[in-house]
Amino acid sequence: MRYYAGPVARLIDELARLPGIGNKTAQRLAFHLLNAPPEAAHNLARAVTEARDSVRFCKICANLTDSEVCQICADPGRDQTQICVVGEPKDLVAMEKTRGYKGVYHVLQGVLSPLNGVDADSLTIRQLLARLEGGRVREVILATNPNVEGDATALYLARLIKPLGVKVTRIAHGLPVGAHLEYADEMTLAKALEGRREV
Amino acid sequence: MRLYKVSALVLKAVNIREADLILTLFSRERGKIRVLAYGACKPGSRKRGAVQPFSCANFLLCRGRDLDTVSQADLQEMFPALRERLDLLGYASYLAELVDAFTAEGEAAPAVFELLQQSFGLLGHIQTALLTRAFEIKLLTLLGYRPCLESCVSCGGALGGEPVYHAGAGGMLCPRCAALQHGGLRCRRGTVATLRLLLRWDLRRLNRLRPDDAIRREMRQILRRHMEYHLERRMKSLQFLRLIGEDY
Repeated sequence: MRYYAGPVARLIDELARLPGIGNKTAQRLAFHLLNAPPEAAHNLARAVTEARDSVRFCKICANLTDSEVCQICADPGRDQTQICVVGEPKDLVAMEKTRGYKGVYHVLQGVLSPLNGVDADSLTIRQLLARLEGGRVREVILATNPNVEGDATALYLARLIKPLGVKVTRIAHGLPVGAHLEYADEMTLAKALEGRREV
Repeated sequence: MRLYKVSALVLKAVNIREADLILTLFSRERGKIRVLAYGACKPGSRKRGAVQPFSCANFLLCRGRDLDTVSQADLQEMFPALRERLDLLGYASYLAELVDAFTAEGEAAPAVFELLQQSFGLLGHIQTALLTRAFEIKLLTLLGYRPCLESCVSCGGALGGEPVYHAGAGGMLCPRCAALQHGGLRCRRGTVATLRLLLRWDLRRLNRLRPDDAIRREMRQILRRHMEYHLERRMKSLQFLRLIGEDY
């Protein structure tokens, strides 16, 4: 038995396909859109369509962009000799928020996962190696997550890049700001000790 | 009691939602269990270190409707070498995947726990490929899947000069019985003898063994065929080992 008119049921079905949204939430969102002024729904629909149709991967760094080359790669003020490698576009945003990095990026579009099977060809590793061919890049900073997948990817990339004569570094691991020493695990503490600095 | 304690190794951690993990643990007390660790990916989480794959920790778990949840986790051993060398990371993933694939949830197997814990500790100190073969045959034995290596599995007679491994038969066949079966794998007597040694010897003694390349290759083929016959699938981590040129 159909409880809702066809278009409403379809809207609820489509919303419920989104990650983290169940049927109840989908219903709530659908009714919010139906009760709001028509412009709200039209603006949302336009934003979704525009984003889907215009956003693509940067041909240099594989970040999401609405032009052929993303803003960061096109910025002449960026240090093109330093590439920071991240797993996902959202990691790039996290790095940018620090405002401390002035080099360029490379987005792998995923990480190697030893336990879930691995397809290195589905990552942008080949594009990264092609970027290093010119001899212009001096340092590659591996900024994948400090978990098994991130470490596997970083170690694999280091193995491929080091023979090219490019300096390969890994972002430091250590205690998060505001953390308590007593709750830190031995590996984090060991890494924090390794990366200690004179004050 | 809603709360209970286990000492467990983390076999796998799968991300769900923003910062939560579904962990596959292999505990000494209850065998394999799947649990939820809320907020474990957040930088400030106290559980973060203990829920990393391959680490050994004491967990305080809380019974839930579907999955139990991690209430507290106290890290015991982290095996940092497994995260610092690509080959060791690949082999540790393979051992963890084997235990995950061969065991059922909720069936206690303390000997399997000990074997995995000891193997994680020895990776990097013992010839890796040999340690992996010894782990495979010991695991198969502990779980009741051991291939018959002593005599012909079909007629019970001596194996003779050139025994043949047959997955469907469940072990070695003498040349006469092997002639009646299709799809066997001819191997040397030395391969069978080395497999028996791997089964008996303590893992810490394995560096004393120096089998030649042909024996190593045959042992790998036999054990892999045997495991794939029983599991009816290949291990995903082998793909990773092959990628890094370590599948030997």
